Amino acid sequence: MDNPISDAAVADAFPDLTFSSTALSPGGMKNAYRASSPECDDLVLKIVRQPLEPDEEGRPTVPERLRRELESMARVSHPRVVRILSGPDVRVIDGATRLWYTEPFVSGGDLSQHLGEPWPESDVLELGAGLMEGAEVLWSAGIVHRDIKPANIALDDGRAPVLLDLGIALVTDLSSLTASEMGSPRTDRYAAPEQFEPRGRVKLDFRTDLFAIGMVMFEALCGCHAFDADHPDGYLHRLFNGEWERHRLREVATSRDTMALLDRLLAPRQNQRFRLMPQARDALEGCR
Amino acid sequence: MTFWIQHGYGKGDKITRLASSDAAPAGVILSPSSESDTQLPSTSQLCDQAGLRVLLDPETYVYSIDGADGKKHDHHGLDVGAIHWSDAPRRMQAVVESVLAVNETFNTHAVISPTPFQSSLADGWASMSLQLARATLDSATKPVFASVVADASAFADWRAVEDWLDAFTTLDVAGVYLITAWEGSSYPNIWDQDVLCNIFRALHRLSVLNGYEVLWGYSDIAGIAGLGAGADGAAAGWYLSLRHWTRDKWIPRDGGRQSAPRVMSAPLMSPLLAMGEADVASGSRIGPNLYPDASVRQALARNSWGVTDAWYQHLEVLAEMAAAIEEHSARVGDRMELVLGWMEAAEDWLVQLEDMGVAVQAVHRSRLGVLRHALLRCAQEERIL
Repeated sequence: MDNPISDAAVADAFPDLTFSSTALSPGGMKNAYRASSPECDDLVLKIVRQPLEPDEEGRPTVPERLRRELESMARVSHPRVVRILSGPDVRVIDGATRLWYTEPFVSGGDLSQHLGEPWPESDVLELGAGLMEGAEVLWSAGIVHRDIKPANIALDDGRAPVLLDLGIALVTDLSSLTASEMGSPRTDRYAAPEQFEPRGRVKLDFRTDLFAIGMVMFEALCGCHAFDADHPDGYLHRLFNGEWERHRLREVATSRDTMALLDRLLAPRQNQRFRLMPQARDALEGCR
Repeated sequence: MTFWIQHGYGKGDKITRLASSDAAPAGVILSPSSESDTQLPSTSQLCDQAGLRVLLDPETYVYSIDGADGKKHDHHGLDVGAIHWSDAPRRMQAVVESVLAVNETFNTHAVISPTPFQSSLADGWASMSLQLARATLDSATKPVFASVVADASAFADWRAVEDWLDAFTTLDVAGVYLITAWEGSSYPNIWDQDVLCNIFRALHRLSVLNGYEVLWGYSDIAGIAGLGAGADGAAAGWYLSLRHWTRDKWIPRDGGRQSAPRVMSAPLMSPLLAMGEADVASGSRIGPNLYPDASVRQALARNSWGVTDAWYQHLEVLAEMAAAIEEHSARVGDRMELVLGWMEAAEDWLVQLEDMGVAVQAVHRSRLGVLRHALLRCAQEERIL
């Protein structure tokens, strides 16, 4: 991936940080750097690569909606949601004004490193409960994560999930997924059907996050993608018609209650999922 | 699964009589256009004393229908004047305040939010309806039923229904009060099968998936099928105009003729005409199957079945059917199977009548077929069975 920001420029822009890594493998839209500061021994600096447009007077600006959301995030404090240590703010980095913030480094690695082989159902339900807890905390602050996926879920020392990268999906291009975009760094294999609708046509809410949680739970249960994203032909059709790989659940002997839960979480329309987060959590508790 | 009485003019004492029957209705939906400020409070009180839940349909949709009249709304402070989807929030808040005030007067158990009439689920009126529900929720001290009063044709396009449901289900209300408007005033009417199927699917989504208490007003026999799809309550009233909602009901006209009395048969799921249909069917060898209540058969044999008998009996039978669904199972799949089984059996009974040479209007069999196929398709689309 093209990286428009040099490591040296980052070090220049953040003289208060001591960097212990060059840019970690760049995500879809941001760079991450492991570092320390006088306040925190181990943190991650995240910089959104896309420069921000200056305002009419040429000053760097954060879009109002993004600023409000990021401010809300800074107020969220919960073990299942990553805490923002500093920022979000803007700074001139490598000649352009960019948005940045820091999070604590979470030691257990991200969930993507732990997927592949089917997990025991009880562990998946534990994972799902933690993710719902995190998503509920965010929603109570009016935030939709929009980008829950294994790479954005860290595991803490007790292997409980921690949601990372809050709200950054706000500036993600949610243009329609096409075959040519499948598997590209900008493809979101965990996005809910409504995220592929034209912007403004639908209103995203916590039910969008519930869908992604269902995707992650399915992958942990079965070791594969719920909608067979490795076969791009007809992917959107399957996604929009709720044609997920139900038969895989039988192969791993999933209980009927958990199958019913996933049926709700992976439903193609928001109105088919759970209307209230506590309803989803109750349904999940009923599976345990 | 409960049956509700759709209140109409001057029927307070009759409601209480119905409330004391074996299959008592769950509640009553009061109509402020039907009784004055001196009558309606006593009706409400009687209902409350009879153990019925009391709701009040504020009927504000009248003010979005050209030429419609709210009749006695001014008695109750509900004559809110013409409303338009472009009205300012302050105006909408005033409408909500009027509705909340009248609910306090009548000591209702929950508040039905005001709403305009919607021709579609995606226009300015639809948006206004949601805003009025939100405003009611913000100010009410009781549980709120968001009301939706829409032309049945608004449900013709399932994708539009889905879009509407996505938005509607962001409302954190206790219940939904749905009225669907049908074209024409003939009764029994025949529904559009696709439209009916989508209405059933919407009822299912709202009730079973989203946990609202869903009450389908003016739904009559289709309401029984709606209970099978997952609705929590179906309502109907004494007159045909309380069993079949049309916009014309609200447009003043010279008095029409009184309709001929009918006899509701649960096994037939149809209200046959007392004279010329039900009396012949009742006297046939399958009469006791079709009209298990001997007193009904005797009245028909004596030719003494009157309009008042018809009023009570129709609602009693619907209440019994609703109670039977409730007692059958809490699982929507079981309820659906029960109702589908009733419909299939009813069609068989109508065929038997036909084979015996008993002349029954073709409309009964046609509408049952539409009802059953619509419900069956709902079951398939929603993976209920």
